[in-house]
Formats: sequence, C-alpha cells, structure tokens
Amino acid sequence: MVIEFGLISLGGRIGLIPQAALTALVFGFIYALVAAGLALIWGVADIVNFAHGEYMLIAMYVTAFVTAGVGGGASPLVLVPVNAVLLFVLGYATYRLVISKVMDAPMLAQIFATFALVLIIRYAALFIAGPYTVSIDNYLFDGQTRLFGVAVSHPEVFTALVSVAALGVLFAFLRSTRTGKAIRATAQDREVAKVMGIDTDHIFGLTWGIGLAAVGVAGTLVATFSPIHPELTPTSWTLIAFASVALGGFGSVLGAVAGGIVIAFVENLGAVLLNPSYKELYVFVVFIGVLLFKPEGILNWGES
Amino acid sequence: MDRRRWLKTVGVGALAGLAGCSGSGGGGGGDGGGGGSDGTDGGGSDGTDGGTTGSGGSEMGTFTVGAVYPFSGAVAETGQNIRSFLQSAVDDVINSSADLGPLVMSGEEGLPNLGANVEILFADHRSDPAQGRAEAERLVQQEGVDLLVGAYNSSVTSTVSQVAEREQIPHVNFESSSPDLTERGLNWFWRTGPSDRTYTQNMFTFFTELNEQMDAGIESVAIIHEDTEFGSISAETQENLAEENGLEVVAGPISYTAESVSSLQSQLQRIRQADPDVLLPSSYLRDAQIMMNDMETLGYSPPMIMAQNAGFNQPSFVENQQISNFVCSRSTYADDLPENVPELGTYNDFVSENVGTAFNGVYIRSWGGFISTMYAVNEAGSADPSAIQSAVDGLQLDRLETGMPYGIEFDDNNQNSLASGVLLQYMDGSGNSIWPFELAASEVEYPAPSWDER
Repeated sequence: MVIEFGLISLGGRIGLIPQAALTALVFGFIYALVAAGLALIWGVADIVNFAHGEYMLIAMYVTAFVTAGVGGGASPLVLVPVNAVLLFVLGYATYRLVISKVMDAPMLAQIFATFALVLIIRYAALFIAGPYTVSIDNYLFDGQTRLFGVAVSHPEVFTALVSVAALGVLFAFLRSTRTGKAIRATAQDREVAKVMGIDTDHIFGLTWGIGLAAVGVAGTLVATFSPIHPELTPTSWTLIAFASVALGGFGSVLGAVAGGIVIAFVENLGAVLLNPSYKELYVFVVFIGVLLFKPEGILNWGES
Repeated sequence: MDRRRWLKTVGVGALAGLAGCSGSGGGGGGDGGGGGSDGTDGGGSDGTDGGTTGSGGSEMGTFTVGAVYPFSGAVAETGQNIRSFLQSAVDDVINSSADLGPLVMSGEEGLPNLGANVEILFADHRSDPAQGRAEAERLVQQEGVDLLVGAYNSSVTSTVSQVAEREQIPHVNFESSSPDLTERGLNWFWRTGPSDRTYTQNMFTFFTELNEQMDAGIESVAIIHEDTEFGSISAETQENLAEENGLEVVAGPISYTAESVSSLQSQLQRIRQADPDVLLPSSYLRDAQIMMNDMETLGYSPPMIMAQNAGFNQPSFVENQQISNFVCSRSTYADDLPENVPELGTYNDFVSENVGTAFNGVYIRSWGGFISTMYAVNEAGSADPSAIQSAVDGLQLDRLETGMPYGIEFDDNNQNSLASGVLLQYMDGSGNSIWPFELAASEVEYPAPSWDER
C-alpha cells in the first residue's frame, strides 16, 4: 500500500483552498448547531445523549414525509419551527419519562438508557419508513451559485445561515433570559441552584427540550441536501457531534460550536492539501492532539 | 474517579467505538455490500427474521434453502428486494408452473426428481461478516437447511462460505463480485455471477473500443471508492486494469467511509483538478447521491462517469434523473436489453407483475441464479449434499435457460465462466445498454454535457 501525503506537490493545490474553505465554513456552522444541542444536554444534565443523531433523524423524516405530500407538499422552511417545537416537546418528554428516572442512578444505567433510545428510535424508523434512502426534491432553494471559481449549494448555505441564526438565539437565550441564567446556574452547581430556589428538575427537562430543538432545526434543513437513511444518517451525525463536543470541551456549548467549525476546516483543507483518503484521520489526529495537550477542550471557558 | 471524568472517559470510548465501527464495520460487499454494523445494534441472532414459503402438497417432501442477506443496515434496501425476488422465484416459478418458455424449472411444480417442494428460510446478517457466519451456522445446524445462498456482501459471503465448507453443505452465490471469493480453493462454494475483474475488464474493453470507433480519446481515469471490501477491491482491480490497458490513473484511488460521509466536495475538487476522461466510482446509494449532488454544486461534470454498479444501480438513484442522467454503470441488465433478447423482456414482465419491482443488475442475478441452482438440485435427484455438489459442478445452461443474459458453466474454481456484464447509461430514468455493441440498443452519449447544458 502506498501512503502518499502529497506535500511535495502542495503548491498546485493552493488554488483549491478557497472552495475548500467555503465548504468548510458552510458545513462548520451546520456541525456547530448539531453539536451545540448535545453539548448543552451534556453540560447541564451531565448525561451523554447517544441518541442525538436519532432525534435529528426524526426531524429529517418528518420533513421528508411532509414535503413529499403528506402535508400538502409543504416547504421545509415551514417545518423549521414545527420541528423545533416537536423536538422540544420530545426532548422534554424524554427527560420526564426516561432520563429523570435515571438521573440519580448509576452512570451505566444512564448510558444504557440513551442507548435504548438509540435502538427504539432507529428501529422504529426502520419499521415505519423501511430501509430505504430518502431524498427531498423540489426545495425552494434548490440550485447553486458559482462565482469566481467557487460554488455553494443553496440548500447548504441556507442551512448554514439558519444555523448561525439559531446559535445566536440559543446564546442570547442562555445569556439574557431568566430561564437561560437558571440553566447556566444549574450547569455550574445543581445543588446550589436548587438551594437558590431553581426547580432543577424542570431546568433539566427544558435543557433536553432546547438541546433537541436545536438538532430539530438542523435536521430539518440538512434533510434538504443530505439523503436520509434510518441507520447511516444518525451514525454519521452523532459522530460529528461527539467529535465536535470532545474537541471543544465536554459540556461547553461555545466550545462545541468551535469544535464543529474546526472539524469542518480540518477535514476539508486536509482533503485538498493532503491525501483525501485520510480526511477522517486528520480530524482524529487533531482530536487526539487536543486530548493530549488541552484536555479541557480548545475553547472551554467554563460556561455552558 | 469523579462523575464528570467518568463521563468523559465513557464518551471518548464510545466515540472511538462509533468511529471504529463506522470505519470497518462489516466490511463490504462485492456488489454493493454494506458498511457493516453501526456499533449499537450488535447482538446475537434472534432467529426470527425471515419468512418461509413453501410447500404445499401433503405428500411432497421439502427441500429447504437457507438465504442469508442484509435486511437491515447500509444495504438493507437491496437485501429486502432480493428477498422478494427469491420469494417469487420459489412461489411463482419453482413450486408453481409458469409459462416462461426456455427458463428451467418453469414448466413443472416443485422438484419432481426429489418429490419435494422448495422452502426458503431467510436470515439477516446486517452486512456483518460475523453475523453472517452465526446465521449460516444456525441455519445449517438448527434449521437443517439443505443448501445455502447469499450473502450479497462479499465480506459476508466469505464467512458464510467457510461455514458451508466446514459443514459440507452447498453454498451458491449470485451477487457478490469480489474476485477473491472463487480463488480460495473451496469445494462447496459456487458463484453464478461475474466477478469485479470481469466487470472491470468489460469497462476497459469498452473504453478501447470507444476510442477505436468514436475516436473518443479516453486516456485517463480517476478512481474514488467507499472503503469497505467492495469499494477497496473494486478500486484495486480498476487501478491494475487501467495500467494493463494503458490508461493513466490521474487521481486516486481516493477512499472515504460511506457510513459517516456528509460531503465529498473536497475529494471531488482534487479529481476535477486532475481532469480525468473517465471517473470510476464504487459507491453505495447514499454516498452515490451525495457525490452526484456535490458534483452538481461544484459544476463538475467529467466526460464520463462509469460506476461499479451498487448504489448507482438502485432504483431511487436511477429515478432521480437530475443526478442519474448520463451516468454509465456496469450491470447485468439494461431496460432496453429485451429489444435484442425478447425472452428477457418476458421474464422482466413476469417479475414486475409478481414482485412489483423490475429487474436491475442485481435482482436478475438473484432470480435467475436461484432458479438455475434449483435446476441443479433437481438434476441431482437427491438432497444428499454430495449429489448436489456433483450436479452443480456439471451444470451447463444457456443464457435463456438461466433467466439471465448469460449461461452457466463452472470452471475449476467454481466460478461461472460464462458470466459477463453489460454496460449501460442512464437517461430519463432508464438504464440503456451501450455495450457490448452487438447487444446494445442505445448509443453512448459521450462526452456528457456540462450541468448547465442539461
């Protein structure tokens, strides 16, 4: 096997950087939104939601079915708030019905609880939708723009813009509202928060709801350009979310956002400048490097 | 260890586990085998997947076939469709009498020489070689099947065939295309379909003939593939044959993980920069769709895309004309093939009515290969494995008798020496045959127009 990193001919690839950087920026913001929800739940409730990609899958399937005609062929744009609310409700219900029962249980029980959610959602999707790959067409923003040698897909860039807006709303909510401050207080010390009169149980439920609402927004728009498969889609996006959260600092929302963007840049620039076959390797090399030299994450400022 | 640190440890471990599973998983398949388990759904066999069909007459015995295929996982869609085709072969052709002209087993009911009907037991291997081995062992040791078929994914076919060899039970494969499968000196394993070497040689012969006939000027190729056994061996074969046929590989082989890929734009940028005359992708369905969407985004359209079947041959890919038009693929069936071989049209109409799905390059091999195998069993006159082994070894059928575009005659490695492929090009939702030129009903559109001109 020949391992070729292509550094010698790097010069000829410099011209590929603008397109790769643009692609990275677009996907970085999308990764960021997907990861932010996971980081929020992790940071506040101290639980790793292994079913994060599966909840995203729910939003994607709802989008696919409704836009396919079940809902009169509605635009995916209409489904952004619908899925945000739906996933919020699902998140809150998941906490109340499942997670709250294991909040004080051994950690293995918590892990198994979210793994159970993985299996339930994934195989329910397989049962309901079948093993088929589903794509959405006739999207309002279909098409692409090519200018000065770089190109962007309209659904992708729109998804990235909405992701930035959603992240802005999320941060504003966490920083400026009473509930947001209560969430941050609970993340910092749940016992003290409880003593200060915060209903932490309710806050955990809200956190699950908000975290999954974020992934609901992302899933709705990702479905407009990425084929949906009941088993591959959640695996793919859960991996990205975990890698982003781990890079950014476990439990840090801002760190997860930075992690998502870093991952997108590392994989895209690595692929055009080095051997593209090792695109994922570059991400994990950076990941291991961060674990070794900055285990608290690249941007862990202690906030959630 | 405090709670937060423990969570971090578990999280990192799980991440590594997920990454590991996505990277290797179950390995691949010859003809679009799958990406493997997802790391979360492992576990033993439940023994419940799968239906049975069969038998009807009270005095008839039962010949039981074990069919191991992927009914969940990356290529479940293909596995589910293969199940429907095999079920129809049992119900509508073998155990019933059908008027299908020269097709073997179509004029009689059951296996008359054995006085038995055929029953088929299905098992799901999830594109996981270990699961495939476990299911094959269960089918042989607990269910007492007389013969094994499957498993679509080459990597799983490999482990299933090892069980068959150990248990001395015949195992006939119709779909897997990894060349290595029939080069292991096995005595209880046969392949009725072509290998990737045959298919890939077909492609390069086509390029040569196209240069001669159309002055196409094809001099270079680029190779991109998913990284399980299917894609990797396909790419390796293409790289070797490109060299043997005097074509330069100007980009690749570039690999990617089908399970976790979300964008292929940066890989395609590298290919566009190398400017190949032909792009050779080996992909499953989801990644094939992502690849074509990204090519459209980038405005990149190579003069020819010649796919190694698999995802590029799936109905949901072909039906999406925006991305499938002008794509070429190797196959064993083309929608216009009946224009020159009308019997194939009759068979296709028959399965379309009974299965609800038309033939494609995979399903015709499953259907025809299974019926031909049952013919060999009937010729054996007994369910004794040794008798079946001799009958399969000596099987000789013409192409119309097999229900496929090729006949069957096994060589010393138990590879069907008559197996061959056709090349097709998708246009307006149909796969039209473009090679071999003597069978082809359509002319290739070369070079493909740019995205803006479509």
